[in-house]
Amino acid sequence: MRALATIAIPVVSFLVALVASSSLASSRTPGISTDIPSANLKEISLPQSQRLAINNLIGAAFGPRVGLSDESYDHVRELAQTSAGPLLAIPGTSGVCLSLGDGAGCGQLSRDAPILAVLTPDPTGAFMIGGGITTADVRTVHIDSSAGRLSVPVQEGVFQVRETDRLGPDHQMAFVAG
Amino acid sequence: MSLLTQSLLRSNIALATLAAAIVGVGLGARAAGSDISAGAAAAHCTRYGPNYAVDPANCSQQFGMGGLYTTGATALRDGNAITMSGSRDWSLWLEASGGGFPQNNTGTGFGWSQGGYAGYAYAGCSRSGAAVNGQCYTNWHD
Repeated sequence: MRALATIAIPVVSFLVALVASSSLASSRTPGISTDIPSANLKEISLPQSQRLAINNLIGAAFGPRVGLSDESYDHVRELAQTSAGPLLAIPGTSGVCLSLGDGAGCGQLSRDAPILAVLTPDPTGAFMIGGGITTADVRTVHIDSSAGRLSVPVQEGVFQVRETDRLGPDHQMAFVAG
Repeated sequence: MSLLTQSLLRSNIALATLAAAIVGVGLGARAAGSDISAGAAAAHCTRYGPNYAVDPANCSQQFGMGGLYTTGATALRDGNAITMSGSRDWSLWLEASGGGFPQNNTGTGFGWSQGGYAGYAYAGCSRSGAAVNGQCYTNWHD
């Protein structure tokens, strides 16, 4: 009886701890907040190699901050197809990450930060391309650079900058919600 | 308290502690990403803005950021990153020693992490907007 109790009590404790931790994990499912229009975009599946490549870029610098987990990669949205590759949104539990070309970064949309965006050079290097996501009340994204202001329309919470916008590279750009 | 109870309690606490540690390590690794070790494989790390340091204990430790920062020398870059405590407009680039920008991103958010370049390059970053804590750092190898 003593031997049985010695074994049973710790095992039961372990199972209780395991169930509790599983419940905790499942209660925080990553996803784009439902008040962000891009949450309505269809989820796509990424190959494991691409998941790892993106995760290595996001890594410890951003991942924990936006609640990124393995499960995040089951809820990826493709925002646009560009000549530098797909522009992807990967949701965490408290923010969203973007991936484009050989890079990735994260942010948290709010009233004070209504735009999450990234641009990269097109294959010729002449123009910047990319885009991002916005909060529901943003209709236009203005991009200010030394060359002036480029205004891009927002559709379903997503905007895209294309080669045809002829936006040249600049280290000091500003993204303004309109 | 009987010896039996004490013995059971001790073994129970020890096993529960072990289980919690296992679960905690598992959840921690899950939260931090499934292959963090690849990012730490680079030979060196340099924080180049705003607080310059080569191979510091915490390469991405944040400080109050100003405007634009670049490394003082070229290196074989494995990666380059800008991280900030709040959402700001940012730029991040690698400038090849022979000219041109093999990596060049701009955007808005908490920051960006970009891949490397096979040749020698400077690393640079900038941010604009209200004051914010942040850091630019680059991984490189000899």
